[in-house]
Amino acid sequence: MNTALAVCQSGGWAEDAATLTWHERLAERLAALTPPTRKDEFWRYSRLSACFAPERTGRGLDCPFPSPEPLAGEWIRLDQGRPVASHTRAWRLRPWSELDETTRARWRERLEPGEDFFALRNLVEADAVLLLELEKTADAPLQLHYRHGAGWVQPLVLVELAPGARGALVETFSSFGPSTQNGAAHFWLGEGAELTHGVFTAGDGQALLHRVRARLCAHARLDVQAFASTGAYQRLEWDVTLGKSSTLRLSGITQGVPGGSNDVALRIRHAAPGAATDVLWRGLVPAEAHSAVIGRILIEPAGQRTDAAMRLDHLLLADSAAADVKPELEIYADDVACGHGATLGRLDDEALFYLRSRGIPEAEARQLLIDAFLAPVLQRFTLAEVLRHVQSRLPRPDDAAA
Amino acid sequence: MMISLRNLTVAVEGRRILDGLDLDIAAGEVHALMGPNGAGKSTLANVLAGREGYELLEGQALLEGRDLLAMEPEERAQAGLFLSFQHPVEIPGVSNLQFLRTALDCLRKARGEPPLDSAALLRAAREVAQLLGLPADFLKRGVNEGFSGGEKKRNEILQMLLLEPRFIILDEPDSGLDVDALKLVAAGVNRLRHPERAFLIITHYPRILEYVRPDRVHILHGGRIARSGEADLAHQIEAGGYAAVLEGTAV
Repeated sequence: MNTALAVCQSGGWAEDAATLTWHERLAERLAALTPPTRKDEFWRYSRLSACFAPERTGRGLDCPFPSPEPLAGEWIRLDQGRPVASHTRAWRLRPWSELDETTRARWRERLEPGEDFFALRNLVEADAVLLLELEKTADAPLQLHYRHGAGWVQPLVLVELAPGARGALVETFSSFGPSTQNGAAHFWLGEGAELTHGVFTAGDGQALLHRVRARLCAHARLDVQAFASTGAYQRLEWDVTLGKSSTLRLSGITQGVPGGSNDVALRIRHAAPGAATDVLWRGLVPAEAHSAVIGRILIEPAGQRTDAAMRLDHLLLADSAAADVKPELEIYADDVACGHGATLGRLDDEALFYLRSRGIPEAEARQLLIDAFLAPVLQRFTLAEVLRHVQSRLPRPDDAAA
Repeated sequence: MMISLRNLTVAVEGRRILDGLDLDIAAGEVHALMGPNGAGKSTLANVLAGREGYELLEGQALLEGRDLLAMEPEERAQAGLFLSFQHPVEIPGVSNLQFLRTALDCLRKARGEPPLDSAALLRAAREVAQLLGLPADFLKRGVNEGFSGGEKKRNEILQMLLLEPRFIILDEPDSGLDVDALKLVAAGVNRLRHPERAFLIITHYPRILEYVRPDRVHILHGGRIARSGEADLAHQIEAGGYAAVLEGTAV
């Protein structure tokens, strides 16, 4: 058991020569970059300004968080991007400073951020770097609970599942003051490994960017179950590369809040034969809210016998609700089965009248239709930790009538 | 009087569809409303049920003395009105059982009654589904989702039997039904006939009236009741058509 984990090094990275050199190069690259603009396809619909609001700047700040709710099972708590306490038996937890050079070198290569401004910034300015390793099978999910409340907060979590290992990881996010969390999680799933990844964001009104980059080795499986309740600005990204005969199932719900803006960006790459992707994302957009989902599936020439499907749907709950949805397929292999689709719609007036004609008040009728819209996604949610949060956040009839 | 319509005048996009319609139906009675295409039969049903898109120009509709037209659709249902739709909508994701439970709970709540025990609802729903020849998995399926036309009509009757309304409008309950399904629908209607309940059956054809004997038959023409009579009037229409039956009728 690994309890009451000590706070990692404040800078996150150990000061060994190789890491220092690598880090300096990253910093130089970051200095040459500017934040993305709407000219960048993957940021085309983003309302990023909230991330850079003056009250949300500043680094390495402390925040007086309230006493945390007790967590059951296996968990790690990260406050202001730094792990402050943990309780786990199945997973091995190690800060970067405790890794041997072989492991560090392997991860430095895996962490190559390309020209992604926020990914680079997270690497350069990481508050803490934590490696989670799973060798066998973990029966209970590991919960990562992030809390942020002051300035820019940038946790970096590295996750490695050994070949054949099976586990579940649930990331939950909450905020307690003016802040932007620019976090990242990097998953490496060994051959035949299986990871169920739950994400729950509470929509506390602050800014959140969270990137998940996953690499699936042959026959690995990643099952994502996400519920995103929008804050001032929120962006969730999954960048997944699938190996031979690996499987990605990604299910998500966006629940907008008035005045909030939410982005979901999916980059899925089939780099080997026989892989399968199944994406289903649905969004609820209330008045004065904005939701965007961009999903791109790239089938490389080696991605023969790919089976890929992506479905992105949004329900606009008011005239002033707005959504941008863009599914894309880019195919360079000839033996594939791929499909994608997107819808933007409102509650069906005919269905609403039908329900009301049976004595169901409008608010409850709307809620029934909203539940029905979300049902196909919720049916794919198996993580009790995510479902519990979701049930506590979905709109009740009084909200639906608003 | 169960339902009393006076000078009901309704327009759609500026065109008068109902024009001074008067109609009374007493408790315990079954009335049939017939009329040529476009006469306004479904308009009447929709206006009474509270569907949007209709402009009330004049008139009154009282359900057991209460002003029906001042109520929201759900309030009308809670007051005892039930419309069996001509084209029931499909609602994927809402199971029939969930829908029935919600509707029944809402109606019982409005009547000041406690929610029906889930097991009792399930028993009742299964019994009625069997009576109407609906498939065993019907309750788990989405409302009308993937149903045939006949199954949709029978689902309307199932809801009617479980919700036990007091004034029932059946908008073409016979359209698209084969004779076996028609008999099942008619049996469902007859099962609910009661001295404290009234029916208005909207139909083009007298076929269903062979199985559900009406007390009165009305012909809607020119936006109002152009002629009323006993059950035999339906056969006159079948034999001679509307033009012959309405000949000499001032509209």
